[in-house]
Amino acid sequence: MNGSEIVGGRFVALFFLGIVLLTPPFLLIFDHSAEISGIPVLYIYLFVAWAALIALLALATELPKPQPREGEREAGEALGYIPARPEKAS
Amino acid sequence: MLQGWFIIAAAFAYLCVLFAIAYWGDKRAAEKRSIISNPYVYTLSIAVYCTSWTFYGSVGRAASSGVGFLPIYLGPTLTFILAWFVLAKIIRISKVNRITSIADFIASRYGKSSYLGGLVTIIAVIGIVPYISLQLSAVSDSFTVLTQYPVIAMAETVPSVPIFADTAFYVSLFLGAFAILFGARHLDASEHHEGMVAAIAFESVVKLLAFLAIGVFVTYGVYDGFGDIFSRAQATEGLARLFTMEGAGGYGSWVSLTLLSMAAIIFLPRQFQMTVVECTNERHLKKAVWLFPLYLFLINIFVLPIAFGGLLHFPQGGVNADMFVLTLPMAEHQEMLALFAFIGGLSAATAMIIVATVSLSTMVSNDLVMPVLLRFAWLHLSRRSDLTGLILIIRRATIAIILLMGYLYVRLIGDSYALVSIGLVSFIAAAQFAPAIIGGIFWKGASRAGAIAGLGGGFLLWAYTLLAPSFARSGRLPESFLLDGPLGIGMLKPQALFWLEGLDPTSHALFWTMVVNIGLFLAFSLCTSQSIVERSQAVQFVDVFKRTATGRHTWQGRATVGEIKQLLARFIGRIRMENTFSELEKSLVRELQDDSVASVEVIAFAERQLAGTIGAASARIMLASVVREEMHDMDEMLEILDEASQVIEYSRRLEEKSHQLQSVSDDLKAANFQLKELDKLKDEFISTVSHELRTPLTSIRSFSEILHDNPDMPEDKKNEFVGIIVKESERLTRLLDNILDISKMEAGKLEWQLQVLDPKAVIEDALAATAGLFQKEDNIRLHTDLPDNLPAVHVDADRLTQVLVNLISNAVKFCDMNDGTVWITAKAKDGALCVSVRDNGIGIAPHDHEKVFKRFQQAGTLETQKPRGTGLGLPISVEIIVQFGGEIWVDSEIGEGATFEFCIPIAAGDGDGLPFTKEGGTG
Repeated sequence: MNGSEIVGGRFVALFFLGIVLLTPPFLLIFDHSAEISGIPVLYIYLFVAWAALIALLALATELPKPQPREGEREAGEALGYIPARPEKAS
Repeated sequence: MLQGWFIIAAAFAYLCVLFAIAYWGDKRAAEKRSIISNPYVYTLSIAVYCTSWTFYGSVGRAASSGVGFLPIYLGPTLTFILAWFVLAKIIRISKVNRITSIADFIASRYGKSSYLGGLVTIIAVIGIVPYISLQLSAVSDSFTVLTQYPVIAMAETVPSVPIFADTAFYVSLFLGAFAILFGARHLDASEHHEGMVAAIAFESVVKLLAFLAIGVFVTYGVYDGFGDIFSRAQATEGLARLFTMEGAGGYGSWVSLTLLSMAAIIFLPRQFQMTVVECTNERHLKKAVWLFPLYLFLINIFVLPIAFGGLLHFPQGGVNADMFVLTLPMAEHQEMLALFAFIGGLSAATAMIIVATVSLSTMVSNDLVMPVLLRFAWLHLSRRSDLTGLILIIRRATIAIILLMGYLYVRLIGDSYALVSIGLVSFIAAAQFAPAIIGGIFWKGASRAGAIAGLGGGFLLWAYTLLAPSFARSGRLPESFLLDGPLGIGMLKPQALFWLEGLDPTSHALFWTMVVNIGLFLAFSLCTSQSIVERSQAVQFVDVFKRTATGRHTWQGRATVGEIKQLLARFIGRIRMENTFSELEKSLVRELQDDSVASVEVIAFAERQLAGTIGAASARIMLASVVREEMHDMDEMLEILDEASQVIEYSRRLEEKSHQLQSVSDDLKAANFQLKELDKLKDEFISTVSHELRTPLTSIRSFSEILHDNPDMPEDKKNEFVGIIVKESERLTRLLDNILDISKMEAGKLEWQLQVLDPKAVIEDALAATAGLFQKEDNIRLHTDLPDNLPAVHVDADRLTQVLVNLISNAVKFCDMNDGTVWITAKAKDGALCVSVRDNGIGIAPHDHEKVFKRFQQAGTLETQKPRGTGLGLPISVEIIVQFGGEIWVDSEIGEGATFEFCIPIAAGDGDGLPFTKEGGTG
């Protein structure tokens, strides 16, 4: 799996996380009239979950693409085998 | 201070600032120093998503359904998580194909279908009108409310006011003029509006700041923070139900609104315009992916506090919750804040109206009006070099008409709907584009028929389940239409179609329109076949990343327009080339000189045209040959080779086939010629035979008559005549025998009794049969040279005798009358037995040599000489000898006699005659 494929995978995972967090079955857990310091839990939950999702999204885009580890690359080059994009063939 | 004139002046000042920004943006764009080319401005321009609906309507909806407003913003967040897969692809496709609107996109994907473009445009215009009306009523209501200050009173119900006293009417006129000035002031060939984008981004900042300011003021100024507001609401009767999902309209509504807004964030025409068409750099999307959800998050934080603040502040009702953003600062006598709120709302509304009308007017002019006008030949539009003026008029008129329609909708629908509900009608209309676009960019099999059927079906159902009820609810259609269904048919109730009850109207409409839309889209795509253009476009759209990855579209070489034209003319014909180029010029809105350097778009255009005719790979190689650009990609080369070898194989097969046909036709020609020849020969044969039969018959008849008429004729005379009659009869018999023989031989019906024989015996038989001839004629001598050891031959004895008798009797007939000699010689020669019969008669001229072997032909002229034979003897001999595998010929000169000779192959197993020699020696 190369760098951009990993980033793509991050988005797919985040999307499913978003679906789970923001749609019914999971929402039911917070769907009752309780409050935390006066604020209904449903409100708190929705905004916190939303904010967390955005934060993760920011991390997923802004974190650098994963690169092959330094040691591995050197070993590969020493053997005359450079696994630049080993998964490309699939 | 908040007088009407002051508010108008403030609004006017704000719009002037917008203008200045737009002007600056355009100027910088012209100088190639874009101010919008960064991810932050891009994100803010996408925030055109937040309109009056968000600014005023969200609070209104929160006041009635708690968190029910939220899915409209959660959906886009989810969509943006997947932007990497969907939006990025749409943007890339649009950049590559120079897409100018959502109608253009769909039409282009499905084979550049102008019908589809028109359909999308119509759906977009009708679908967006409610949304525009929402902005108009929000602006006019907020203006009316603000001018009442310090009294807090709502605007009067619109239809009760005459048009010319209606604020909304003036708002429409004003915003219409503004939108025209903004979006249709001049024509931009690239369909990019940098100034507009800059202004929209500014508006997004203003509306966010305004809303946050109100939110902070209400939460911390009026109340004591979030906890305070919600605790008070909790204590107030009837408000606590808003704290749970039950108040939000239930989970069904939650899910359907989420899905709906996921589609709307891409497929609303104005979102498509900002996110896709106005995108200056694909990389900006990367940051916008999380910045835009962040914007949505920020603008929504204070919605619930403001809504509850309003509900707590105006417990007696009478204040429209949609106006809480404005009325709360007014109630607290914060004039400047109220004005800021008004400006924020105005910015939200104007941003939406500007972008929506610009994108819709582009669609109307490019995909609806111009295609129709260009069809009318009598307008001679295709010959006009400059259509800019006409296009501008169409666009301005479109903007005016759309705003007028929006105003009419406000008047017709009145206050029967909250802002959000009006907006949702438009959302569902926009969602109709989703199957055609999502299907179109991921599935090559999606066809034009499927897109038309899906869009058409979905749109009709939208009009029936959402648009018609909005008229019914405001009393423009009979109420019974809603309650009992049209004509009392319960099954067709527009908000409970097929007895589907229990869903809110939005979910109900979303369900049915999507079922029909996706169903028809799939069914028609699977059941119809695509045209070549469709298929080529489908591949180009679906495989856009594969193609652009090889740099397919970055042509770097140099070629003139004339060269490109010439190339295109070679493949698609001069007339079609001229037509497509004039279309290109029209779309580029400039003329292309033949000797000017072809720009990238001209080359790409030519490539697309060529690809439709000769395949994408070949198109590229052809263009590369003209553009003189190198190609590097191995896959590409292989692709070209593959395509070319297929073509070669195909043409090779064609060539083979045509060769076959050619040879068959040659055979047929030859056969036909032979048949004609045979037919001619047969005719000749019949006429000659009749003639030949007639001669002896005439003579027999005349002598018989003489005998009959002269009974007392001397005896010797009588005998002589009877003798002639007998002779002629014999000749007749012989002639008939010969004819029978030859026809049998030719028909292959003669039975041959082939056996290995000693030829000497046969020759001696023939001599015995003809001995009488020599006895009759005293002065003819016979010389024979017949060696004993002649090799055996494989023949029919009787037939060979017949040949010999023929030749000998001919020799006797034609040899010297006074001193005749006939030589008969037989010998073995070159593996064959050769027999010659020679006479010393008058001879045959060389040019007659062939003739004597033909039927009824004799040397000399038939007319002057009495025939001395049947004329069939030699032809029969030829047939016989040929049957034995030998040949016969004549060797002669005039006055030197004639030698007829035939050779027959020696019987198999007889070698060179030696075995027979041994036998002959012993026997």
